[in-house]
Order: sequence, then structure tokens, then C-alpha cells
Amino acid sequence: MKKSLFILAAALAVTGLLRAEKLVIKGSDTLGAKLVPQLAEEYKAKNPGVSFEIAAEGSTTGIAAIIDNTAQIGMSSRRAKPTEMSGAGAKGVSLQPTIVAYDGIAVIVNANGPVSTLTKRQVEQIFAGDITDWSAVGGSAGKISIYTRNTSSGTYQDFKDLAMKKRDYAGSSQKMAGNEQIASEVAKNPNGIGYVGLAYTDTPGIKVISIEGVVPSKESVLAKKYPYARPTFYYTNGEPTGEAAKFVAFTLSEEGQKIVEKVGFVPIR
Amino acid sequence: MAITPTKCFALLASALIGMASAAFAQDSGPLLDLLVKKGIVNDQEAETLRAELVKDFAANTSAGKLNLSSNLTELRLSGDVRARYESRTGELTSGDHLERDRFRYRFRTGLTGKLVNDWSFGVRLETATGSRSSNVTMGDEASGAPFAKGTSTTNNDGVYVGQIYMTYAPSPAFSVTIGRMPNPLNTTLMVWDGDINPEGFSEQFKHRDGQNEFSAVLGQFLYSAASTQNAFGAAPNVQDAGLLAWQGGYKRYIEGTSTFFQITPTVYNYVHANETQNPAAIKGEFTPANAAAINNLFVIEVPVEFDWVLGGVPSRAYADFAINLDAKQRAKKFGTPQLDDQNKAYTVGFQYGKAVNKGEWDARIFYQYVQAFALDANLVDSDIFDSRTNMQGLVVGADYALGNATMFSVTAAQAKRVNDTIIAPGAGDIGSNNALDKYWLLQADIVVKF
Repeated sequence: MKKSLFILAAALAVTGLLRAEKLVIKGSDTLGAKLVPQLAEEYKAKNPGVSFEIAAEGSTTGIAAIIDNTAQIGMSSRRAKPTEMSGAGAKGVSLQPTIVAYDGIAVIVNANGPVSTLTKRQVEQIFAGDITDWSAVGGSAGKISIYTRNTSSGTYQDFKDLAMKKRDYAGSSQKMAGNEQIASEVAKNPNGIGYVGLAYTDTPGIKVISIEGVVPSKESVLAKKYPYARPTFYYTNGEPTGEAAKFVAFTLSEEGQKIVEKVGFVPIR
Repeated sequence: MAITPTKCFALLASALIGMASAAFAQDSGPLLDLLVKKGIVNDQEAETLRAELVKDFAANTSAGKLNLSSNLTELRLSGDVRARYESRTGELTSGDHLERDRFRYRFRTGLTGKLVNDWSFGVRLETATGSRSSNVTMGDEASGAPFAKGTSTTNNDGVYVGQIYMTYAPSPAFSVTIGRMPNPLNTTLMVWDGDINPEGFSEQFKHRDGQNEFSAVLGQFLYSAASTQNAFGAAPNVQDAGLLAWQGGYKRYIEGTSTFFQITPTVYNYVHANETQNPAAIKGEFTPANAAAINNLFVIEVPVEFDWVLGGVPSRAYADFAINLDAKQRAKKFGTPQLDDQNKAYTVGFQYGKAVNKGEWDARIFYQYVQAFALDANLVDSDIFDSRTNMQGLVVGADYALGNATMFSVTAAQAKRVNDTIIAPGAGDIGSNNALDKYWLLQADIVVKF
């Protein structure tokens, strides 16, 4: 009798596991560090049978995961490159972008620094290494310490495209794993400068720089006045299906977009 | 997505861009942004369209499949293919004739790239093993089956690395190059065969002040490397042989960039060329039996040229003078101490026109005179006087551009010995170090460049 009960319990457990949906989401640290986990928590609360595996290691890894079919959703803060599209096509994968939120890449400095505004040209020159001392842009003399994301980050590439005319970063720049690390380093370094997504601008000890008089905000991003504004994406293989489609729909829903705004991104409507 | 007439128009406009050229897909961003701004499509519709265009670009263009390093800012592929008919004739002092008529081909292709942080690189692949020629003789398969790829002795049909170098140029005024490089020196065929790509290091300086330009080129070339410098046991030590070149330059612009005068005096100093300890290929003393030795060469070369526009046609007059200041010892070791005055070489030439674009032509004529001990016989041009010194003669030639990428060229030369009491030393195509008295050359080329 005990043996029969054990087998029954095991069978029920296995059945339960089989019924549980697991959604694998990989990619952008910008989306995956805060926003998507919060969306996932809310979604799980409404859909108890669903579990999530979220890995936020950069947009490149998200797009690669869709191409390799190791995730249902790829988070990306940049658009897929032609070579990624080509690689996807070769494997029969159709990369489908869905805009889930807008973001502004905020240029940040140490809160105690005197510089509060920069021109687009100055930003380019600083991050490319043409300007190396704060005194050249109205600050106190001091060697500028540049913090950037690492090369697998979509923000790393987006900032090059949006702010640096696709030039390479200064050789002295230090590459950080995520937005939080950049904000943390800049908060500690009086000569530091870096960039983070809007959701990370409330870190104590940092100051957001106004770019030619425009500060990144919901309004300036939606009005496309802030020069370093960008959409962020979920990538799927064609139109999403199943649980992935439901999660995408939840992200785009009024409830999902409220979370988007609460986390610090700009909702799409 | 609901398709309204305006959206339909937007899609059609963007589709037309894609159809016109898939390459435009990458440039469609501003148009899509404008359509969004005008409210014709929303951001998501624009994004979907953008992705479709990029997919087309990736699928239908070779550029879309390339994944170039982000360190690369420019990549260039170029090269040429040449077919040649060549006739060489030599006459020995005995009156015996040698005639060598050949059909030949040459292939060269180069990849050059500019990198971030002021670096660049170049790689060139080319046929043939020789340093002074990339030619392959058709049907030259003496030891193989017909149409075999190469011969057992030369394998000239193979493709080899002709150039491979990297350059650091932190400013337009200065650069340093390392590797097997295009000859950085301004020179002429009299001293350097144009096919030679020296190996080693080179530094180049240039400064322009108004109409005056000053330059300097330094070369530290590894002429021939020893396999081991310090051998085990009693075997003699062997040292690398080097060639140091110091060239200063002055260029005076007279009108624009087409009319100028230029002079580039150069000093060549051979290092470790001490006859007994050189690597095998250049070992020993320069003698009637050994023309490859580089002992007692301390050469000064002075190339000069004047370029101007003559009747609307670019023209060029040039000359090159060279003297070996150590020729006395070189003549003595050759066994002819009485000929220590055979230490000079010169060339004087004129070119009318410059064939570049379809239908353009040029013609050239020059006279070249090289005494036996004036120059390094390993470096002189391999065609004009068959890789030899102690030769003088006249060369004429012309080029006609059949198309922007196609050139037809003819070159003819006639030469004889400068000094009849000694041979014309050198390892030429019509025999080495023989008693050559007279020499004729005819070449007809078709070159396709890409």
C-alpha cells in the first residue's frame, strides 16, 4: 500500500512538472537586471504554473540565444546586426523585434563634479579619448576616467552609434559588466564619467548630464528630443507563440507598461 | 498591423528602396524615422519594416554576410593579372646566340586594411618564388606532366606571400612599418627591381611647409639571416647580413601637385657583409664566379625628377646617379684591381603622358649605364639588362589604357657591355656570369587590374 501511494505521489509530481511552463529569456543587462525580472514576478503571480530562467549577459547573447534556439525571448537594447540576421536566416530563424520600452542612455558623472552639461561633440571627444582632462570641458583639472559597458552589451554598441559617430572608445576606458557597476564606479570616482539606462539614474552619488540642454526623461525621450534615446526590444523567432506570446502581450499591456515606467523606462504609450 | 493607404504608401516607398538596391537597406533609417515623425507609421511598424529590410540586405548581399572586426575601419582588396610575351636574346663574345621566347603570366592580389589607433596592415599574395619576378612561364613543367602546377625546382605556379607588413602612423608626418613591405625608398630600376619587397623595418618622416616638402626614409632591412648565429662546436659563427638605407628628400611644388622638382639622395650601408661569415646565399667575395656576394658596397644614390604638364599632358624627366665608394676593394677582390674606376652608374629618362583611364597613353625612353662595381647585382632590375651590372643601353616603352582596368604595354631594350675586359656579372635569365656581349629584350603585356 505504501509503495502504491509513493508511486502515485511521484506520478502526480511528474505530471505537475510536465504541466509547468518554463520561459527562457536571455540577453540585455539593461532590460534583464530590473525590468524583466519584475515583469516575470508579476506574470508568475497571475500564472502560477509558469517559471522563468532569466540570464542578463548582454544583448548579443540574447540575439544569439534566439538564433541557437536556446531561449524563447531574446532581450536586446540594440537592433540585430545584418550578420546576425544573416546567421539567423541560415538556420531558418526569422528574428522578429518587438519594441517593449524606450530608454535614454544617460551620461553620468560623479555628483560632486562641477560639470552638469556637455555638448554632443564634447561627449564624443571624451569617450573617444580626444579630451582627457575635465578642465577642457569646464571642470576642475583632473584626468577623466571613462567607464563603458563590455562589448557584448547592446548599450556599448548603441552609445557608439548614437554618441560617438561609431568611433572606437578611448583605449583607457574601463569596461563594466552592467549598468549598476558603471553607476557604482562613477559614484566613487570624482573624475569618472559613464553611461547608464534611465532606470539606473537614481543611484546615489551620481549626476545626470544634460546634453545640449536636454536631460533624459520620459518626455524628452518620447518627444525624440534627447539625442541618446532608443527603443529596447524582445526578439523572437517570428511571431511569438505559446507562453512567450502571452508574456510579450503582458509586457505590452497597460499593466506591463506600468511596471516599465515604475522601473524607470519610458513606456511605449 | 492594419494597413491603411498611407501605411501602404510608406511600405511601398521603403520596399522600393530595398528593391533599388539591397545595400540601401542599411540607410533606410532616416526615411523610416521621417515616416514615424510624420505619423504615417508607428515605431513598431517602422521597426518591423526595418528588420525586414535588414533581412533582405543580409540575405541578398555579400556585404550583409561579412562580419568584419570592429577594429577595422577600412578594408581594400586589389590586385592584377598580367599576360606577357617576352623575347630575350643574348650574344656572347664568341658570337654564339641564345634566344629565349616565352609566354608568361603573373597574378598578384593584396588585402590592405586600416585599423583603429593609427595602425594598418597589408598582405599581398603573388605567383612565383623569386624576389625579382612574379612571372610564371607557361608550359614550364620540365619535370612534371603537361600543365602540371609548377616544376620540381621552382614551383612558380604556386602562390606566395609577397608582402606582409604592419604600419603605425600616429600622424601624417610619421610612420613606421615592420615586415615584408613595398619598397619605401624613392628609387629607380637601375638600383632596385620594382618587384623586390624588402624585409625589415622602415621609418618615414614627411613635412610640408608651403611649396616645400621635406622627407626622410630610414630602412633597416634583413638582407639575409643566418640560421644560427653561434653554432655548436668548431663551426664558424654566422651573422645576419643587413642593409641600412638612409634617404633624405626635398620636393619643391611649382604649380599644384603636377609640376614639381624632387631629389632624394640615399646612402646604402651593408652590415656584416664581411665575406666569410655571411649566410650561404651571399657568402664569399664578388668574383666572376660569384655575383651574389655583397662585399665592399657602400653606395650613394641620387634620384632626381622633374614633373610638369607639357601641352596639357603630364610629363616626367628623371635621372639617377649612383656611386660605390668602396669599389676599389670590390674590384680588387674580383681580380681586376685596375678597374677600380668602374664604380659609377646613371640613368636618364623621359616619359610623356600617363596612361590611367581608357584611351590614355604614355611613352617613355631612358638610357642606363651601370659599371661593374657600382651596384649590388642582387637588386638591379631583372628585365632591363637581365639582372646584370657592367651593361649600358637604351630602353623604350609605351602604355595604352584599353579600359580603366586594362592596360597594354610594350617595352624594348638593347644593351651591350660597358667594359669589354670583364664579364657582365649577374644571375640573369639567359645565363649567369657568362661572357655576354650584347642583349636584346622585347616584352608585350596585357594587364587587368582590380
